[in-house]
Amino acid sequence: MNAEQLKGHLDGLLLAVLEAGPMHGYAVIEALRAHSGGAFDLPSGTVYPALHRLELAGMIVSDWSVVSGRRRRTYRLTRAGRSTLADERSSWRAFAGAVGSLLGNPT
Amino acid sequence: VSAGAQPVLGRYLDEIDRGLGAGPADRRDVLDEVRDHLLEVAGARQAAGLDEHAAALAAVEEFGCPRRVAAGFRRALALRESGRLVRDTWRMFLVFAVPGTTAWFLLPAMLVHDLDPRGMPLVGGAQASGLLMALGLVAISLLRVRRPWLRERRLPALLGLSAVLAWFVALDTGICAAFFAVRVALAEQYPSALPWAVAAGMAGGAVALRMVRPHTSTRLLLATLRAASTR
Repeated sequence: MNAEQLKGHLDGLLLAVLEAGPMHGYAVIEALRAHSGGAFDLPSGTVYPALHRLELAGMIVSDWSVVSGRRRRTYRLTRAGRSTLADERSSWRAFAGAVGSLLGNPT
Repeated sequence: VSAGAQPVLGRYLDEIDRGLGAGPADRRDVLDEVRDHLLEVAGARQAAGLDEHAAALAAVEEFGCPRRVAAGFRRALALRESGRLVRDTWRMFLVFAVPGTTAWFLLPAMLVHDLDPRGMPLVGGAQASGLLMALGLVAISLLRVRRPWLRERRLPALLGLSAVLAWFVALDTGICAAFFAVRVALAEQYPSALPWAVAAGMAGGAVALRMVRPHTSTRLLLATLRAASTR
């Protein structure tokens, strides 16, 4: 699945991945790949700007630490991020249900 | 990942750096974050059997075209910088509104003749109106402009307003500085203090320029308008 197909859903997917706990960018990308069975194998360079935008929106915050002698940025969900994720989930369920009722069963 | 991978990663990071167009602190954060990612990926590829050069190449290829990556970051960085500027400008405007309006109204009265006590209500009114205006603008900024840099449609308007305010604050500080310098020069009892007053005034103006960065607001405004017109 390419980045274009994911457009509009990437923010929600990133929030869902971070729900498990704080992660750095590499771990977020690996989790996206693993949880989607390899379907969401995005160029990493598109994920980081999306994380930055989510941080600007107050959905996530980041902290810096030093790991193996290099600076590492770790992201975690905020309360606003959790609430947005809940909204994203309910609107996705409604959307998927509606599409599924049309495409899921041959008439 | 040892020294063999460094030239590949270094060149890639340099290309991203050239396209970021942000301040040094923001650029350093982005480059450190990307470097950390690339080293993780390259390390994993090496552990899977690739040699260090091939592992580094795989890492940068997976990250994506550096120009496109830089463009993605540039947008987020511009939004971050715009947000900081808007916040700083409004804060400075609040701080300078009262002394600014006082200077505007007191300057003619003090230069021409001694301040007439009957003019005090006018000065008080000017101060109050300046303060109310600043408070009103800050209230609007808190209510409607809480995350302005994300609502990109509003960004040009916000940056435009911030640029106007920033220039106002900077010019107003200069006028205040000149006012105090002239006042000291006219006060016969302190003629020797004039150079100090001028120096303090210039320092104040320079600090205000540094803090509100009107030229940066203007540059970001023009960049945002250009981006909006080409989208």
